[in-house]
Amino acid sequence: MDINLLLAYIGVALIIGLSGIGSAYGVTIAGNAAIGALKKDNSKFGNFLVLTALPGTQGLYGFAGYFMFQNIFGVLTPDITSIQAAAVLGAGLAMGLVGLLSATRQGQVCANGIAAIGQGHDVFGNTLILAVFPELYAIVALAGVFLIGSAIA
Amino acid sequence: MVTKMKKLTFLVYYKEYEQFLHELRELGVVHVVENKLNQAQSDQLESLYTQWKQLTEAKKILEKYRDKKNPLPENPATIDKGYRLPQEIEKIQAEITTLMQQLQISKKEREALIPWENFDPENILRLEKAGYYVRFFVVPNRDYNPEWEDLYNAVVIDNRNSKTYFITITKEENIEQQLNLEAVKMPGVSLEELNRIIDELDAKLQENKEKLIRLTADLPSLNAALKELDSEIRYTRVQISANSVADNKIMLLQGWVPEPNEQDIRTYMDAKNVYYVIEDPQPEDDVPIQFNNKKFAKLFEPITEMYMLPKYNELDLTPFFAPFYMIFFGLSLGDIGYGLFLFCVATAVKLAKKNALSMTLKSVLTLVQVLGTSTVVCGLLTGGFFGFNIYEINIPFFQNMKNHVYFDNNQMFVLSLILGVVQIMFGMFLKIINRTKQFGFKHALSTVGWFIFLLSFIIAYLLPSVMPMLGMAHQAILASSAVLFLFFNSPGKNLFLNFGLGLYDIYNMATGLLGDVLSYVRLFALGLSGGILANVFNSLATGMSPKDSIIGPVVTVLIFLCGHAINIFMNTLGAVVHPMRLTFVEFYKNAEFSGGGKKYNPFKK
Repeated sequence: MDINLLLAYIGVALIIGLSGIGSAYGVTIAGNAAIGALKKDNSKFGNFLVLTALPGTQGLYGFAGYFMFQNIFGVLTPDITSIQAAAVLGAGLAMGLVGLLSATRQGQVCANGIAAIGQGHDVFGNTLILAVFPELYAIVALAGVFLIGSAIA
Repeated sequence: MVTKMKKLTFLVYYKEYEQFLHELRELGVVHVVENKLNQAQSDQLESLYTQWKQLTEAKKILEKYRDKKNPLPENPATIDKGYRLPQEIEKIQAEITTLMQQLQISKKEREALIPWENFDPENILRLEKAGYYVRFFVVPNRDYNPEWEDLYNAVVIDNRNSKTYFITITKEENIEQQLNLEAVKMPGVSLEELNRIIDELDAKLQENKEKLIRLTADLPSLNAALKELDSEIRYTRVQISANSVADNKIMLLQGWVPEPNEQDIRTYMDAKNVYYVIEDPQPEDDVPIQFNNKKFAKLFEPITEMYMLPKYNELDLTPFFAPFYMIFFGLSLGDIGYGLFLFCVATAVKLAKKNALSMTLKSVLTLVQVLGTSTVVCGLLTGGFFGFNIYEINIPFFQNMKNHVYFDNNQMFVLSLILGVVQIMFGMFLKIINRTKQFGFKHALSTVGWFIFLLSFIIAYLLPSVMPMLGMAHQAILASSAVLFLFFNSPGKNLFLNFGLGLYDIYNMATGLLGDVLSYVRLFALGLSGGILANVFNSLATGMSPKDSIIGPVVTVLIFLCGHAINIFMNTLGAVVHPMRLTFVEFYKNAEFSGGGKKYNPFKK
């Protein structure tokens, strides 16, 4: 069923595309802040690097989601059923949107932390913890993708 | 756990105060309570801080200029020299800045002169005296009119970037108006001269930079001065912390001393004939915190400090979250190979720099070793090894192990939730102890109720033969525990208020607990996504490399190394941060940790 496979691949496009875009935005927001903060305190590059890397994970979750459908559940074949295709599309939408928005928002939390550290406030640990809050939902989305996948495989 | 502290109060005669402080600093065990500063005092400190800033600034500059690979032999450290260094460096830096500005101006002038090539400005002046005016012009090529050559004796000097550079030699002075062009102003030096000036400036600049490089040999002096200043600042802060009483004749100073050191203080004070009182802390005191955890839990103290120190009368949760943190890290990273890698790196650093390591770094490395080992053990559950699965290898040993320890994805999912339930229940149990310790058992009753309530469900679910789910026995337990959390949640208040608060408590528990337990799903998802990415890098390494007998393997190895390096970095970061959140948010919340203690920081040199 070609149309089923088409639907499934639209899901794949969403899951990889949206969460990748989100991570790209997130790390850029944090990275821009880091470059600004380096002007004030260039000895904290290690801290900035770690905080900038945090929003990078959503893109990886999106990719992991695609990979599960491809290899673990193995549903992306020409004889995919319409239910499986709908599941892939739905999972892609969920993971993609959550990844996109949580990564950009997480980037903003990290950027604020970076700016504060640059101004001499020692908030590295606090920022780490707070920045992980938005990430939970991307993780939950990935767990959701896993559950959707195991339900239809 | 937290060391017991004793509260110290001294009364010292003002003439002996300085002497007393110096000796107290030598003892180095008393945490002095520092007062809020008044204006005069903060001004006094301000000048010290300014000096401190200058010194650190100077240190930064020197470290920038230091040749890290083969540094200059260090000069012996003298504090005086260290204090003088900032001015010296500032002078050189100011000179460098002026030189740089001059250099920039000269380079711009040279840029402007290059098309005209080398000529002596003196000659132009001489021509002017003889009545011939030389003017320099630059026009776009299409605006250049060859007729000018006859009219004004124009001579084209150069032609670059679609611009024509030409001069006119005329007897009239105001040639610009006739041509309707603006003449270019020439610097009063020739190109040759300018080149010489630039070389000279470069040489001077280099000389000044070398001066700075030579100064890097005095870094030890600078460090010594910084250390001296640090202790001076500390001393001043303590010195102005005393309250003067009895017409400024007697200084009153308060401090804290760890109980094990109490005897030292007593012996010293008795010998000195100082009036002092040692007493136990009162509940309202802000007691400084010193950890005294033993070996394993001690490793996790830096993690506790990242969040907040416990209050003095509160339970220190470090030893209780340590084993959980270790397991959570292992599950989140979840790859035998990565665990081995972390372990080996930490061990290698430890062996290579045996003596040069500070105590803190050493314990961090030990922590990495512990976490690495945990990752190896947790990795055995899923069998991931650098993205390959060891349980897919057809060797009896691995197949045998698979039968015993292998967890599939669904089982891992459930395992992480179970760990969540275990940690949250444990947290609640600690809350009971914590409340009992702080306010008495009466205040812990509602938590006891909740604990029994939840535990009874777990027991009924796991062992239906002992206690059937919602059977008579179970119902009795539920009812009695409900009485506890509905009517005993705030002792001393009236019954209806208690009941209302109890209902609110139920709402909080129902929404909170569900979210808390689900939060532990991250352990599963992190491990899964890390494993998948590692696997993908392996496929890329074998699949993307060109079919060439020499380049092929090289590309494979490169992709493998880079891919796993990125993956290790990202996953280790996640495996550090996510269990931290589980500890500080889910576990601390259920254990009712409030925190906010100050670190014990003894007054010493």
